[in-house]
Amino acid sequence: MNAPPTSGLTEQRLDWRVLVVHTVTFRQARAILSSAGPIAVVVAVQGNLGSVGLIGIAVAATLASLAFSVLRWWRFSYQIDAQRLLVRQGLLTRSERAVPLDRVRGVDVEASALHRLFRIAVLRVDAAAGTGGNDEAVLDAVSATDARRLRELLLVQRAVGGGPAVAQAPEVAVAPDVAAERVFARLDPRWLLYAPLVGSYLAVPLAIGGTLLRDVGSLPIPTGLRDLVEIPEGAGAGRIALSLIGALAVVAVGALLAGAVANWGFVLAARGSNLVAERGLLTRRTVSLEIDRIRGYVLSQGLGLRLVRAARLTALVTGLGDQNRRGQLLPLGPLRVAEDVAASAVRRFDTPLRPHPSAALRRRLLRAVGPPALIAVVLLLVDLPVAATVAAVVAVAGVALGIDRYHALGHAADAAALAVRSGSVLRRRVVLEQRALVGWRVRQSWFQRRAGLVTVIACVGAGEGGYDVLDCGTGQGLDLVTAVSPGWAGSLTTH
Amino acid sequence: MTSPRAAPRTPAYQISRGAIGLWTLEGAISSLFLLAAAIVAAVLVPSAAPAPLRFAAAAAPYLAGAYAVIAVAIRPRLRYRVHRWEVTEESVFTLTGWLTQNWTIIPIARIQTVDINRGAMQRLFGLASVALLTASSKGTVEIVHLDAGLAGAVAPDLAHRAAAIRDEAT
Repeated sequence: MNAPPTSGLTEQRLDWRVLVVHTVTFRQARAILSSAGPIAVVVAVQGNLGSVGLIGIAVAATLASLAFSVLRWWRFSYQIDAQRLLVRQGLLTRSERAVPLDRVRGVDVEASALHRLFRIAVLRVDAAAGTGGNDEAVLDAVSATDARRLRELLLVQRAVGGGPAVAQAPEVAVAPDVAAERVFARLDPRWLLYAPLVGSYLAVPLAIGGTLLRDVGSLPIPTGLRDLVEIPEGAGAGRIALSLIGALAVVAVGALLAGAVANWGFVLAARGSNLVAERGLLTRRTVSLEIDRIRGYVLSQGLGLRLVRAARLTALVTGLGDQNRRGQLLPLGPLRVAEDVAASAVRRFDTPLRPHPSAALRRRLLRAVGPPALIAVVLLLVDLPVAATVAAVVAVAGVALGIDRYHALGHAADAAALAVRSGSVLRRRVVLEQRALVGWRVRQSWFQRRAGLVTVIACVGAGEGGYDVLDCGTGQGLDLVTAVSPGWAGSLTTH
Repeated sequence: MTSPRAAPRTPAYQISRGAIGLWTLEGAISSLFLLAAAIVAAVLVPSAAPAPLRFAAAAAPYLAGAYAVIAVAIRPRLRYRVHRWEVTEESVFTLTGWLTQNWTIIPIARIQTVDINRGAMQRLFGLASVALLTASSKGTVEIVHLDAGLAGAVAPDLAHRAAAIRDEAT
């Protein structure tokens, strides 16, 4: 390994331009001003201060904010020596945080639109604390060029410090060479059209719409648009349908915008010993994942995405907080692309999945049809025919759901990893590396025992902590365990 | 290839017989609370209440009684028959449950912490549990209700062996 000799960094201040950003956003002063603000407004109104007084209050608040920002900036410093990153801060109570470089798990760079205007960025250093939790050091903010340089410095130092750990793992996909860069994925803007099919993006316009709806009457909406949204009394079916289509279109466009704001210009690339993902339209975010700590991936498809053969891809990383957001390898894209990215950036897994026994189909059907059917019967008995019909329709739809859920079930193992698939409304395919496993659990209910089925749970120190192989045959499940962990899990089956 | 009717192996050792007493006591206490609540409900529901509610209130004491029989007379013995544990060369292996059974196996190399837990009721029966934590929230193993003396011997041994062969890679 020929990393450049990085001797560290002497004691540094944050970039002064952050003073402007923090002053206008009331970053430090917000805690104090949030209580003083309303009081000032009341004083202004009651005391008939007029515009001059209001401007005076605004100026005073801004000056106070500037003073707080300057104090914090003056008392904040950071430095990097051979072993650690040191952050000193605090006005009266001085605190000093030392983050050992070999514990650095990732370095994220984030710049809001305002930060970008001043060419500065916030640096977040994610470190595994000794207790197993995560510790964070935040540099808010340094110049954009410094951010890049610091990230390289921190990550390279870690790679040098963690030399033995790198050597232990033979499956590192990319040699830890800092200069090398290989792009795995780039978001095609056309993929944003998938956004209205994803719940989390749909939620954004719905939430905003819900807030607006409360005081829709007082909003200055153009009459033409209001006619589209508001349904006059005694409207015909055609008019209602038109309004619904209009509302759906607005929500779809909102979801599209939400997807674009979060993911515009998404790029996933390998840089040195890290996978670096960069994205965002207004706030630009750069997240780095240590390749050596990636233990697998999750390919997930909601019902909407499945219909158009699209998917999202997330990495499973040990010791990474906020995995769903930070581990994203492809936020949106065609299934084929997501599979390619998973194969090239994490690992290839081609072994076809084994289906589960037909007893699993009976259980899926019973679970999907049983409860609504039972409710329908009860409702019929207490003489509520309309509600009973609704429940019966749900029960019939349950047949399709149960069959689809059964077809999702499958698992497989190859020489170094295992794959599990399940789910209908949210279908997930999880691929986990063998070395990630820290335990196996085999669960069998009384009903499963009669059906010859078990649920096998692969316990891992990443992601959700465990992934279920739902309702596989008892023999299949034990075969999977012994195939993946032939050594230590052998005593699950043999003496 | 194992046969389709295969079952996981049963770990070698049973837990302490004292567990039956402890579980019976726990079952008795929860049964008493449940019975008291059911009787209060049966007494308090007025005769003018709608039929389904009156029926539910009348049935509650019988349901609580049935629960008491299961929790005191049946469940502790079934649980005791199911619960097993074993420490092999490379792993810790447990079987727990009564209707739903759980086989759990973890490699000693991945054990991060070893805890001995002694609850107040466990003390009463001279019992202790050994909890083994791994990096996974779902990969925690607890060997429940061992003789306190045995737990005191097993835990340090496991902690020692885990420290000797710990695999930090997770």
